Amino acid sequence: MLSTILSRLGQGCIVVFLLLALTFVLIRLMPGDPFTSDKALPPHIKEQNEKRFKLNESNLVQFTAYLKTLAQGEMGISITREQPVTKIIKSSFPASAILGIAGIIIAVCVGVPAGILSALKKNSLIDYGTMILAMLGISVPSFVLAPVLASGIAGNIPFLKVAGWGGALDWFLPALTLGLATAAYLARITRGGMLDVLNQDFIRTAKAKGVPALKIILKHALRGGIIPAIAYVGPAFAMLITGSFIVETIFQIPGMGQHFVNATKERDFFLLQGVVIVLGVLIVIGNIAADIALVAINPRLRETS
Amino acid sequence: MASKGSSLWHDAWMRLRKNSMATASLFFVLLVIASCFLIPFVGQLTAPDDPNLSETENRTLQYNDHWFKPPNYQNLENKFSAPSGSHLLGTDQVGRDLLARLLYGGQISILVGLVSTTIAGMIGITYGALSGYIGGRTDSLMMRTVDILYGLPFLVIVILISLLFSAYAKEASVFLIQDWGWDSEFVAKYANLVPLFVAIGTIGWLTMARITRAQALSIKKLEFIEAARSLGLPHRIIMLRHILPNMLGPIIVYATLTVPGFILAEATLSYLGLGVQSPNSSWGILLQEGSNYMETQPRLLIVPSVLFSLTLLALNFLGDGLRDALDPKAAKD
Repeated sequence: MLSTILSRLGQGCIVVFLLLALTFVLIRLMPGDPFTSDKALPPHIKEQNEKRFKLNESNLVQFTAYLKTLAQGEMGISITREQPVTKIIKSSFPASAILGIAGIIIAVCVGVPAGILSALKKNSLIDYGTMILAMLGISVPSFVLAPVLASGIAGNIPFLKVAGWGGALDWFLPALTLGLATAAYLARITRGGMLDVLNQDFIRTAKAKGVPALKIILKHALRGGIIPAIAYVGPAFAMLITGSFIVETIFQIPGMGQHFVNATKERDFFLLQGVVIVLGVLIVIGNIAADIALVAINPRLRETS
Repeated sequence: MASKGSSLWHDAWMRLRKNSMATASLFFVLLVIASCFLIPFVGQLTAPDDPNLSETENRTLQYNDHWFKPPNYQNLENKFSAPSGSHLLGTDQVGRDLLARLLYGGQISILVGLVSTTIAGMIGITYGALSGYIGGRTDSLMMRTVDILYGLPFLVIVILISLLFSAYAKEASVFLIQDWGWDSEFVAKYANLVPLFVAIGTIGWLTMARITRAQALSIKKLEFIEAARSLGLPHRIIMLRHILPNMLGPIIVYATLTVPGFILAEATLSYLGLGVQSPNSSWGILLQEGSNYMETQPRLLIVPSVLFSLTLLALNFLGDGLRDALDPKAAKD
């Protein structure tokens, strides 16, 4: 168990490092620089600016310097915003975090029961209905779903706003938008996993023995049937985080998504690197958490690792 | 009388035909593709210009009478017009015909989906087949690399790579137009798609590699491969002639399921303003522009949304149906 976590942690470090290095190189290879604005800057000011952010050095020097800054717990200074990147991220992280957490709760609470129900009522109207809805959830992108939800729900409930952030319930619509797509994937995966288990002999034995149906489902079928869904929670988490960038743009939420999009457009090297590191770390944590949960729930994995 | 043997493909086709959802989806997808590519082609204007009139007058005259409006033809006096005989789906914020833009946008979106899937498929199949066929330490190293790449956020890398390549695409298109004399309209239409193909294709091959590798691993243990090897066939022939054809089922299934994902990726990028650039239209651009006028002109958002979602839905259903048909073991019911 410990060795699994350690190896996953090592792999996670490689992922974050690779992501950072890729971002670092790609953003510097792009044409344009952070100081390009409407009016052309005089060359000496540009030079001064570049010196200030050490952009006149070679990429390797810059990269090692950046790693040193990271080691000190800093992320450099945003070039366009003239603020420490850590400060920008700290102020925008809560909105993204609330959105992500609410999104994953909605996804699990909608997707898993729907999948279980669908598997239990296999080939019935409920099953077909749920699976068509799930397919719809996968096919309809968030930027189509968002306006539908906004006009369908926010129009009818006075507490909900179509866009913005700050009110008590403002997280609800964005989180719903974010969660429903993941819920659709989860429903399909849960259904598949449950069907696999429900067809097995031990379920038939339990039925023949006269174990109550509810107990069969909760105690025997669910433990095995839920495993594919839990294995998917890691990737789902990654999907939610990057998906939240788009949902944040749609609902105008002051989260990390706007910084990612703007920093890329404005070539704000340090801000982009900071956002990408946070993103990478979150994804790695999500994957490791899913792995631990898998081992915890599936005794067969415990013996081999 | 000897009974006619039925091949894997024939069986699969029969199974697919039984699945009404998948068959309907197949027809819908074919219909969308056909209308996106054929209607604009048939409706292209070929009428000669009247030399006595100015260019603008000429165009106005031609376009107003023609049943199919060119997608980039603006008419500011006729913006936000409701659906009518001359504009079947009405016009947008600068008076462009929505139907024409929808069909042209469809061309771009479908093209992005198909070409990126082809690129991703070729990389993924080659990588996965090699990894599975070679096996051993090379295999585990190659797959560990895939595991690590898998951890990268798809959208982030796609955005960065496509932005990087779009700079070169611009330079290349200038070169093509000026030095090679290519048609500037043609180049402008397709040049800014290349970065998307490259970006989505180079990042999207990972799952295909995993699937192909698993297939290659299991097939290479079968007796006919052993026979081929004992006959002294070179590895290249064994891979191409004996292993690859036997992997086609899962590959086709996964490729079909990849296309809607990539179309969605393109739409997302265009929606964020990082993909296809105006005045080109793609479904993502139409959705983005439509959402700006959501309150006042919901038609501009609803029409593209419905077509876009239905197409993706049909592609997903088709992929599922193909999986059930080609790979009955993997089917979950």
